[in-house]
Amino acid sequence: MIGLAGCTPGPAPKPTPTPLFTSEADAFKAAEQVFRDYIETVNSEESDSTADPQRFLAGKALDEDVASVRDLKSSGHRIVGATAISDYRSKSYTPGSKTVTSLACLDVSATRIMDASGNDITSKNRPSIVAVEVSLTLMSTEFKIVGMNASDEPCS
Amino acid sequence: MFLKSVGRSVVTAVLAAVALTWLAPCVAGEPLETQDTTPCSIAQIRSGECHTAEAGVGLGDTETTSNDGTGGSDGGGSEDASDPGGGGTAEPTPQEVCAATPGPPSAFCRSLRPVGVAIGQPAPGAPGWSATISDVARFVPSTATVSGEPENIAVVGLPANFLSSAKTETIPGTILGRALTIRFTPVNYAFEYGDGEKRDSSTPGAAWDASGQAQFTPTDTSHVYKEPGTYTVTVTVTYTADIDLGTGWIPINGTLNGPPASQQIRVVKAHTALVQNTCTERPSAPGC
Repeated sequence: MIGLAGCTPGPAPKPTPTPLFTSEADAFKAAEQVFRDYIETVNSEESDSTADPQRFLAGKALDEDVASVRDLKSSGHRIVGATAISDYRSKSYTPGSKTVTSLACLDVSATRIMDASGNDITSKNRPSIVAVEVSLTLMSTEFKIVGMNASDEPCS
Repeated sequence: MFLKSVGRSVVTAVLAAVALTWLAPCVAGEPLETQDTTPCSIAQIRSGECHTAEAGVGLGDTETTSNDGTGGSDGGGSEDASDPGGGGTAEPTPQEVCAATPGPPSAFCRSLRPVGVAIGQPAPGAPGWSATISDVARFVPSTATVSGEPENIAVVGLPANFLSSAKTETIPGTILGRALTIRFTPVNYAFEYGDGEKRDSSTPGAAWDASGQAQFTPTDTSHVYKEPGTYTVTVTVTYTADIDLGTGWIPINGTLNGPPASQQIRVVKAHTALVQNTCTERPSAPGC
């Protein structure tokens, strides 16, 4: 009963109203905003327990995140400190699948990994800038992040 | 309040039971990873575990066996040498590369062979005898079907995946008194989704399970319906033809369309769906 109640549709999170796109530029702009909102929500998780970054994800990206959150929980590790977008480049828009592909460069230098007892266990080899290829697909009226993959592209 | 909530739970349970039959693969376990990219979650990116295969040390998909959310030595991922270049030998011609590639030809490969209207060009290498695309038309494959997943039911607002069964077929025949073998290769799949929208695809589409993707992931052939109802999805496959008179494959100029294959799709509105993991873990999953 209680478990089911948790699954009944509650008030839907207010999506940013996004008109259907008439141009590639519009699609790029909307997709970029979704990615920026996602990173902002990820950063706000530390101070706001109701933040739900997974609402920006779907498909493969969501699966990855669920597995990753589960692992993090079982290890007791925490990630603290903000991650910044140092560069974001829209690369292509496929009208058929309504998918935008872009390159995001994430500056993780201010982000630390802490173990359960509060020790900083951040890897010394961690690069400060990580290049990620991001795919976003338009689902009904908003873009969702459907894939994030490691990229070889250089970040400025 | 209590009654209302009981009512809703019953509805939810019934829907979940219905959903169970066609969403079962979703709970069956993690899909197999078939792509050669390295997916990363935001936690992996922030922990420094998001690398391309070349970088070597990525945890990649192997991390599910580890309890250590940040550990970094058990990974490696698959070293798949997908670089087709390499070596100091002479580069193969595009035609050779295309001929050696299994499966339906890519758009580029198709551009190498003449595609257009059926015109009466004689097949090369067959002196005194020629066949045109219209000669082979009566042999065009007609058994292809189309299906939608999950189970020919779609949910409003979520991608429904479609696949055609058409593939390369080799058919024996007799043309102008001469026994020969005809090979039909699909080069285009024209999907009409029944709601006025169409899409051309160079691939027949792949089942979510087969391509290692989660259900409701958009694919090259998927479609999102905006309204509930019953729709007829039709796929028309365009083939190129080659004939073999016993001396090797000879391409025939032109293309042929097979008979359209159709399938009825029921599009429903879902307020609840059974998905992998709990609603606490995936609050944004359908139905949570």
